[in-house]
Amino acid sequence: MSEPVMKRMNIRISGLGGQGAVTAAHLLAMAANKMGKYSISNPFFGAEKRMAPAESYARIGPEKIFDRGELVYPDVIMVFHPQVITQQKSYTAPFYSGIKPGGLVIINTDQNLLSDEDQERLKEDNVAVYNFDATTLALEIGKTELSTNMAMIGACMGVTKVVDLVAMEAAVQDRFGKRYVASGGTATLDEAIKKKYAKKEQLLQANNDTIKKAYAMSEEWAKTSSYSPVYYETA
Amino acid sequence: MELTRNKQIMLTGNKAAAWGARLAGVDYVPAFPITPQTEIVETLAQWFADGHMHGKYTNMDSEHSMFMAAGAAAASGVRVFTASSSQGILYGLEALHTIAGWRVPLVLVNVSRALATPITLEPDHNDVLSLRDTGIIQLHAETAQEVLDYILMAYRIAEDPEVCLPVLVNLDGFYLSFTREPVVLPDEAEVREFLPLFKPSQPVFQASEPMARASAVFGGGNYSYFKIQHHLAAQNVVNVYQKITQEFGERFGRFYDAVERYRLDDAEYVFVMSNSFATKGKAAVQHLRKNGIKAGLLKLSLLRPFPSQIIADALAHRPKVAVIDQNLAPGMGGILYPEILKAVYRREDRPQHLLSVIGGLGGRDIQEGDFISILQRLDEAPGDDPLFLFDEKDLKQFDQLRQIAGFPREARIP
Repeated sequence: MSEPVMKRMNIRISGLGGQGAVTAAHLLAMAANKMGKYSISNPFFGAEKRMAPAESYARIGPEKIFDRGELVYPDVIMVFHPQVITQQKSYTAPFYSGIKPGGLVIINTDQNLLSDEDQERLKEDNVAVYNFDATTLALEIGKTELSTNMAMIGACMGVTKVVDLVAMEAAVQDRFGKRYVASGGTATLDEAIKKKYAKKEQLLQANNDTIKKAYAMSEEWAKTSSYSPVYYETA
Repeated sequence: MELTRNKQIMLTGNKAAAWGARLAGVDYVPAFPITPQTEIVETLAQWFADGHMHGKYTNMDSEHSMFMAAGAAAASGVRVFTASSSQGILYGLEALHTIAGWRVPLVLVNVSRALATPITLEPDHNDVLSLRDTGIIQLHAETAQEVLDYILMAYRIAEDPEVCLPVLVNLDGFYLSFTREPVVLPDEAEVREFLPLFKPSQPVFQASEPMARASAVFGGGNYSYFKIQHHLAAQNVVNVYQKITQEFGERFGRFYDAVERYRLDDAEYVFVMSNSFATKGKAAVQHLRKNGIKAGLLKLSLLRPFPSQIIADALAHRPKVAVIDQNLAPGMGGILYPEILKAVYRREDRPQHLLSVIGGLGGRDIQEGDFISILQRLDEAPGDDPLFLFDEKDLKQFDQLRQIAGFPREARIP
């Protein structure tokens, strides 16, 4: 009896400093670990500053991962901020360089940001483009732009099913549920978040609600799309 | 397929280092921040403040003071941990030579970051290798798990009566410091059995028993004696390390050696690598093997003392070997290449082709294509070393940077 197993999925996140791109990759990798999958995540950025390009990578798969650092050939790309595309605030130009055929691009935007040439090239490689207005959803449910990364995670999960909601809820609990000092950048983010939410519980709830809503919306979108993650049969 | 790895948690290399210090039960941490190391001391500061760790955490005014404080504290008989990186290590270099000569046991972590100029944040090993001749013991880690395990073993080595030296654990900035991967956190009680609380084997400074240590000597005789003793103590580590790693393996199920022999047995091509990029080397070996090419990898873990005999044995009868130095001594080449050449020189079973490769400088990625170009060079007749892993894309980027910097197109820097 064999069951289908999702192949290795390489996720590249391009965002701007302060948006939580690093935390997003971290949460995806943690959730994968909780599901018993292998995972590894890492960020890439220059000097830590807000609105400067920041990238992060999550590699998730059924086998031990011998790979680290910059992700050159992603299956999924998430763009957290329109300026990544409109102002080329990205370490990789164009932002979709290296994407595998049949891949997926999720862009946080309420309008099309791609040139005709970009659209043509992505179409040639059968790459699905999902414009998802994560910031609006974050403001609506999380009541703060800072939940944008949660909305993007939810969108990625809803379309790809790379990790499930139960595992992600546990990962969010781990990350935000206890006192935790991360890198300088994320600690600063923690401060901003603390001011916005008086109580930790509210934060957890808002994060999870944002993820779930984005998940549900994106699951619907996936039904209309040609994109499907790659599975293989295993013994 | 083993999928249940519930005992593992996702930690960055930096967090794993902090956990190493916490589980070791350190008494004193003098600290100074520097990217990409800061997460280590930041985490420890929080743990001291929250009462998870007991003793004293002090922010110092520089790395120089920090290393002097670390050495002085160790001389007074407490267990000491500290961490730095790159320019910070260099700023404290005088102190590091000094405290190594004091023969005090302590553990310091270096998070590798390439040296200025030009300034950068990403890794290569010129920083840690500038400590090569300090007489400080060096262990270089590939994964976050190794970072944690090496720190625990490092205290055993440092405090061994045959050694009594500082031990440095190295991890790469970004590729390991900020990379999250699964780590098994050992149980604290089990760690305490492996690494009991510190009982100094040497006399320690006490107000009630005045003692001179590290006094000035003239004429060279006494100086030579101290230095040769230091050398012998460092050499003792090869055997002490084997004893301690064996005990660690039996207790925790993770076995380490001075080197790791990855698919070496029948290998025709061998990459010699260290630190986190060794993972990339292993991925390349797997890929090459799938395509019928017998490749293998020798990972250097114990860098000081240099385990020459173990390395020569591991490379015996391997025909084509590429030493990938992630560092550059301008005017000489790779720093580790001549050390490996020396290790195999007298052996008749040495590799036929020992190629020097320089790559991964300033965090420059080493990709599959780079490994292929190394194989191609190994198939050619020896000569024309080193091979620099630097391609047309890099050159194009560099030309762009020159233009932004305002250099006329025709101006050339040799």
